Amino acid sequence: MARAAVVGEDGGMTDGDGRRGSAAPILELRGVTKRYGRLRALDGVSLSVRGGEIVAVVGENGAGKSTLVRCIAGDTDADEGQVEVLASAGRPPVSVVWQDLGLCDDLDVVANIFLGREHSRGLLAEGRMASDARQALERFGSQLTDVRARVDTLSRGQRQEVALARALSTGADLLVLDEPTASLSVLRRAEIMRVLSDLRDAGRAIVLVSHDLDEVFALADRIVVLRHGRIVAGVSPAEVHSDDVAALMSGIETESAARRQLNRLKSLVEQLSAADPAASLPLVVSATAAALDQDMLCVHLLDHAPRGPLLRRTAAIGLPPALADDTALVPVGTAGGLVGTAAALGQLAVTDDLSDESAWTGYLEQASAAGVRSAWSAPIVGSAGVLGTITGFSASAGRLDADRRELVSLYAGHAASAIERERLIDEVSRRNEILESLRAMLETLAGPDRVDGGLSAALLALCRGLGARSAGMLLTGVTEITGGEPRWVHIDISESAESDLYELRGLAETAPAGIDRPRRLGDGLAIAGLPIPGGTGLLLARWDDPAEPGRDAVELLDDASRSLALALEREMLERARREAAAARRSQQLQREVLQHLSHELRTPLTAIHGYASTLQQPDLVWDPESIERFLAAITTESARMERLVGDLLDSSAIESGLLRLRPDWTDVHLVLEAARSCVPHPDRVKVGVAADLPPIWADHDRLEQVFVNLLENAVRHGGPDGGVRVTAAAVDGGASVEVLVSDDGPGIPPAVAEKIFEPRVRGEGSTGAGLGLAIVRGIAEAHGGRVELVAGPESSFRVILPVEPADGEENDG
Amino acid sequence: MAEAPGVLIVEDDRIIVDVLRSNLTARGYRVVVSIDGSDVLRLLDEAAPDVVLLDLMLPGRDGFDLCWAVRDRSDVGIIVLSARRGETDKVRALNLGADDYLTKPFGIEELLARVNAMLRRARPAEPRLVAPQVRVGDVRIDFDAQLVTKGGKRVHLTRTEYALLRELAMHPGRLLSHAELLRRVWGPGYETQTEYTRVYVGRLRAKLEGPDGTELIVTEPRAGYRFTTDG
Repeated sequence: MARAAVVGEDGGMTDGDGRRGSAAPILELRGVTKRYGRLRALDGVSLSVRGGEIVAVVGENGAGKSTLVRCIAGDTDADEGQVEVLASAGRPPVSVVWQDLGLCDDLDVVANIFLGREHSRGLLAEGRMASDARQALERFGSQLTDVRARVDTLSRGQRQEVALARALSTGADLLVLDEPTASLSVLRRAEIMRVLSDLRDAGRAIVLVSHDLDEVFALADRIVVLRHGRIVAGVSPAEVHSDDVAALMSGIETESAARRQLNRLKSLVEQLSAADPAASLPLVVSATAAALDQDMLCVHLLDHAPRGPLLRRTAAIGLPPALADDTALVPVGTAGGLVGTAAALGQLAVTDDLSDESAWTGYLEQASAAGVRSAWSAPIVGSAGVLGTITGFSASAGRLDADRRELVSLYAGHAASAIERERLIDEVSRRNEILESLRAMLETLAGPDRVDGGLSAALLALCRGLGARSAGMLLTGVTEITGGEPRWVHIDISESAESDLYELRGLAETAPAGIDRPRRLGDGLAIAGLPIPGGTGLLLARWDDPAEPGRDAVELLDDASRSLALALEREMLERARREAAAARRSQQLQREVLQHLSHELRTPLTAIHGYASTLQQPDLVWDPESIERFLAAITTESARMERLVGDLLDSSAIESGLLRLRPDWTDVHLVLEAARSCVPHPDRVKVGVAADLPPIWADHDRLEQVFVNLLENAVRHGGPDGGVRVTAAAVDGGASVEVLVSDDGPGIPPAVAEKIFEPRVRGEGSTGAGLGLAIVRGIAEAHGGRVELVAGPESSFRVILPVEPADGEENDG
Repeated sequence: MAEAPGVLIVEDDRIIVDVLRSNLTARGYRVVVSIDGSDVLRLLDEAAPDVVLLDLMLPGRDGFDLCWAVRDRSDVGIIVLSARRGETDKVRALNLGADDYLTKPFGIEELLARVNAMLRRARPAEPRLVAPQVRVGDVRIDFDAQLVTKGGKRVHLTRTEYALLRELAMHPGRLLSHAELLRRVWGPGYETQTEYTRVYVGRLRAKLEGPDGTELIVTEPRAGYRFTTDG
């Protein structure tokens, strides 16, 4: 017996979950050999797999993978060696997903999932098993819901899902999966991979046999390569490339040096694309040094100094101090030695042996002192010509062979793109910064404040970005934003200089029409047009340096003017859109009010029509009481209609500003008493009027209407026996009269309070058309006064009416 | 008459309830009232009305939902009372199972006439001279038993649906105009309410015509309908 399943011999090593710690090997293979006739399917395989580890076994067809699986699973015995599975007590030691799945075709999904475990589930209800099966499938997102289907009716993928569900639900410490995802969709495969890595994290040991190297590299902690029954390598996926694994599997050695170079280059490219631009050049330098096996390497960048171009060293590796000092700044041309020559010619310059090189004269001593015998310098050529050089020094003499030359130019190319990328990003981010701050400023334009603040802030950002000392902007015809008048915004950031305000404004006002792209006006001045539809905008900037604006500043000004124009345009559109939306909303409200009114009007009309036609029926004779009731109802309903129609007429008069008042000197106390007598329970209403209350110039009947509405409202909302208090007093030093109507009801919910003066909103139990408060407000406003809802637990309304109408507010009534 | 016909009034305005109740009671109907619609289903079971008068605008309740709930539970005649005059409201109510739609304000004579028409539709058909059974494809109409089956299974039809199907099936192949159908099924005065026939033919098709495309009722554009002669 070569196989021993040792079950839970030391409870002390198990954790709370009963799982072994990750240090404990769960599978141990020692010198396992399996022969089929003369063929050695496995030849002395030793392998140890710990809990919390996924070990992938890869190999070509016939390498012995499936035999290995069978040996581990105990499906076949090894001829030599030992297979040991150390499982926790009470758990099945191994569970396997066979390559051929090993399902029983004539059983359903549930039976297959619990196959071989019936004895432990014998007492379980069928329904419970089905739901457990479903759960096992759902764990990796299987769409298979019919767990009572026979597995031979399922697709290959579904069958694989069943096999997986079976293996994953046993709770075994060791999972052996032979091509577990071969038939699954990409999506399901990803789910399985997630579940496997969860199981690994939970301390299971997993042996994964797979052809799919991507899967192996994504999941495995170790990769064991099997070839001709032997383990030929055990590698970590972090350290090797999948090509290397493929090479190990096939046994075909690939040219390793070239592969290394390629891998190195590949990793450089990956690092470069992820690296911070400032770090990319040093990266290229060190990669180049590694690729060429060169100890001393440096990069020079071309610097357009006023007195001619210079090569400035920007990155170096391994340079001795003397050499470093010397190569810090080098002239272009032969005077710059190898470096200057390479830059001047735009070609690789090589010196095989420093001692017989005239071009190196200037640096001969230092170079020799530094122990340099040979060197090369390659130009870094970007899209606009030579950007700099990359130079290598060597302590030994020797030729730079063709391969290495190619590598040098390859890395020089990478350096060029790294440099250009860095410059581009630098440029873009500088611009972005300005444009971003412009955008942020312009966002404030969309706010409720006047636009000047936003425009000034935008100009300030622009000034800073341009390096200008002052800037101005003139907007005309942009009524949506500036309200009709031309608007001039100006900003000075230079403290010492006197304000450029008048000069710039004068220039803007006398500027010819049709300025679009930025123009230099000379003497440190530039002007640009803002292409705003329907209006015009001009942007001006003034620099201290008369040579400004340079090309960059002009371009920046162009960018800025365009984004300003876009922002202004967006703002205009947004305002137009908001207006349109408000108009639509008001139309919608009108439609709703009309619809509501038509219903409100039809109800009394239906009753009147109904009673009248009831009485008219020739074949029925009603008793006198019924007739009395019908007629009374007709009267009541007619009054209801009259009131509705009155409200409707009032509200449309208010809406269209046609409400006519017949004002006279009016005693508010009398009005309040009259209103009180009209409400259902006058005794509940307490009226308190200040002794010195002046008479006001108002329409008595309309005011009565106002207070009848408010009092009725208060009586209705004040609870069954609620009291209503009305107080009136002079305010504003006797210029106005304030009337407060409060009830002790529950108050008005805030959500309703906001809309309470709009037509149609009305509380439960109201019989009006919902226009009452809108009319109250309309009448108060027609008097030059106002009505407010006073916040607080008890709803109260405050009516403020002027004693006399303000000047110019004479009513024509 | 075994028992007086019953009317369930669902209406929140007490004045309108009073006028309806006074008249219906005076004409010998049993009347039950639901003020807010919450007890409609219970009253349907308890009072077993023959006709429901349903106001669409109930406080805190969607009349359309209620209409559907009533139809879902019973094939009682439903007459909707509504202040909404739009055709869309009318078609919507019919689609939800209403048999008739009366716009407010209405005269009492008109209401009584419609209630009578509704009850007449519910009464057994008068003797006729056609075969007691019609069979088209897998649909069988048994006029004696007032039973309709499709593929051997009973199809549940409301009274109005059955009355319309009967009119059509009794005259296979003959073009029946909208007005003719409306007068015969709904009663005199309905001749212009073509949305009634449109909606109800649609309901019949949905219940009886299979997905295989067996066409039971043929539309004659702008004229009316024709019951198929196939089968």
